[in-house]
Amino acid sequence: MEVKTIVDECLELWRDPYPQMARLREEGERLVGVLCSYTPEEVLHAAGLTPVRLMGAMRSLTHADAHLQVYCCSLARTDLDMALAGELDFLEGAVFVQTCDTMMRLSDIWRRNTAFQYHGDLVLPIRMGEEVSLPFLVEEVRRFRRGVEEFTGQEIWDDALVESIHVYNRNRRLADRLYRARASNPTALDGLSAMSCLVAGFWMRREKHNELLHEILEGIEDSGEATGGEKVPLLVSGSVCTMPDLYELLLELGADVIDDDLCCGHRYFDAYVDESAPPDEALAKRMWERVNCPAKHQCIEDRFERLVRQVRDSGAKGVVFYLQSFCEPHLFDIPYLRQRLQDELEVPSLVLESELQSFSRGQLRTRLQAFIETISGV
Amino acid sequence: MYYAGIDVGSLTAQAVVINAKGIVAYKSIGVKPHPVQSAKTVVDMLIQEQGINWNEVKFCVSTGYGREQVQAEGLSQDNVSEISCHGMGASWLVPDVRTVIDIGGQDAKVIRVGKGGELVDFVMNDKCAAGTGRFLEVQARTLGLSLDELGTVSFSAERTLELSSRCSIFCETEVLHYLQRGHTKADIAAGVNRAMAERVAALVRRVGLEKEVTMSGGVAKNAAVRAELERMLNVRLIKYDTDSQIVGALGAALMARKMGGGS
Repeated sequence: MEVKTIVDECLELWRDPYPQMARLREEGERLVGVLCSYTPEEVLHAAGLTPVRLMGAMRSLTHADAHLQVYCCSLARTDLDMALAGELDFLEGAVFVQTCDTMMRLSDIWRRNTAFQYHGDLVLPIRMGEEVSLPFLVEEVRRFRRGVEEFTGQEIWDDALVESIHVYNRNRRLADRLYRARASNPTALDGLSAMSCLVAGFWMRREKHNELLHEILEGIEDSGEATGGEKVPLLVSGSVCTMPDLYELLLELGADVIDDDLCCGHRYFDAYVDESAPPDEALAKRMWERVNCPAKHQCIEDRFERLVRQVRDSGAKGVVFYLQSFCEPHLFDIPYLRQRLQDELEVPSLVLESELQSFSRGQLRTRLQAFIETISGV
Repeated sequence: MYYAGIDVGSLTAQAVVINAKGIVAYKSIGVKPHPVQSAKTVVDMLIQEQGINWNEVKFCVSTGYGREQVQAEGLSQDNVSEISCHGMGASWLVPDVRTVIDIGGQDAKVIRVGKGGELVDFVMNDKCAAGTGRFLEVQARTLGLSLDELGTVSFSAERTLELSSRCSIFCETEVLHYLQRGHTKADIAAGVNRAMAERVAALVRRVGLEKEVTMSGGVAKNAAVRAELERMLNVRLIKYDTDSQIVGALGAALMARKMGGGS
């Protein structure tokens, strides 16, 4: 298949993944919703379940506000709204990783008000990357695994889990290659296309996504000599990007996303699970070492240091912080991150907040255009 | 040789024509249903009323919400965001300016500019219409005052009433409540203008205040809001020698002069 055809299909999935999830169910996949990139998806995969990411939707709320305050993030509100409206009935359940206050409470509300057969919780230590928290996390992964086993009624064998870890590690390696290919040949694959191909994997069996990434990489790597992009290179930082609007607008305005610090992007596939270690411990270790979600404290690499490294390595001329309104963990970090980017790298940044995954498109366009003008001049 | 800027906003549209020396002519109108219609009308009026020969316009830049449609229609050769244009226009009018407050009909912007008027940073209202011209319009209508009167009448206020709501619609209810309780329009208007200034001051603090400071857009014509802002920010807002509503279009014309090779 042509690279463009694959990319277009992936972009369609990104715009609206829910019909695809329903199709997967019809094809016999047993779907479990995943709200957080810390979910050890390998455990679900090894149990014969198919994890699918719930990244909210652009919609008017009719059910969720009876349960969640309006100052909860739109990700939680729209996901819950769809569940309560019966629009996620193709799921057998969902997994809640207890990262921030909203996700913790959402888990309880979801459990009490929906009728899914399976409900998974994984409690993360507040402080990651410290010796004392690793054994706790290993035990949490084991508890989570037991919960999945109880639900399916079948034991998850270590060798099955190791096999799933291998599939996911391959996915991470391919995603990393995709990002590298995208950086070295921006005319062959722009930021919108790369992100589309990555997030599409949230809504298909991981083996199939590996095949898809492999096919794209072969297509790009055979596409001839690499040429530099002429667009203003930007880095996007934040949590999830529910809709492709931001990436599309940036392209239209003469900029492109050359790297990201999103939990549905680069942070999702960063770092590998050690395939030679006992699987529970190896899964916990990856989470423990991974670059932190701002809801957690302390990890091996400081968030700002990593952002600096990414900006320097990618050659980004500006950073767009793309956040869900009321996402306190991210928003608390913003003044500090922006100030240091300006003082230490002289890299300007723009903060965009989306409520219910939508923006006033006209205003968003003006702000992005003005931001690009601060970088490239007029 | 002329250069032109067309700024089509949410409530008003302006066109400014400049030459190598400065402003030659300008016109401001209320917007039409379509931005292209607004641009054509304001240009036609400039031609008819002020005798501008549009064929002598070497380069034109459009800005404002209709900027891309205006360019697509061939009325301008390029488009630039209104944020950059307001910065550029303000910097030309007041060379020492570093902070530009622009309050339009439906948006509020605070813009930091460099020595040459180049855009350094900006912040824009992103939640709702509170803190924009629309907020004043709604409250003025409820009070039965014109926009001009809303500003002037509050100088005769005996006290400034508190409007606590952040929401324009809820504020309207508060205004109605005060009217029913028998408070004077002057006291309520003073409260409205202060509430407006508080929202703008909050926006200024987000981007950081650096002197000199100017204010453009329709709300800049409200002396009471200006006075409240000067008090809150402890800074003098420098007045333009020209109509504060044309700053965006002027900036666009200056951009056109730069792009068209007129420096």
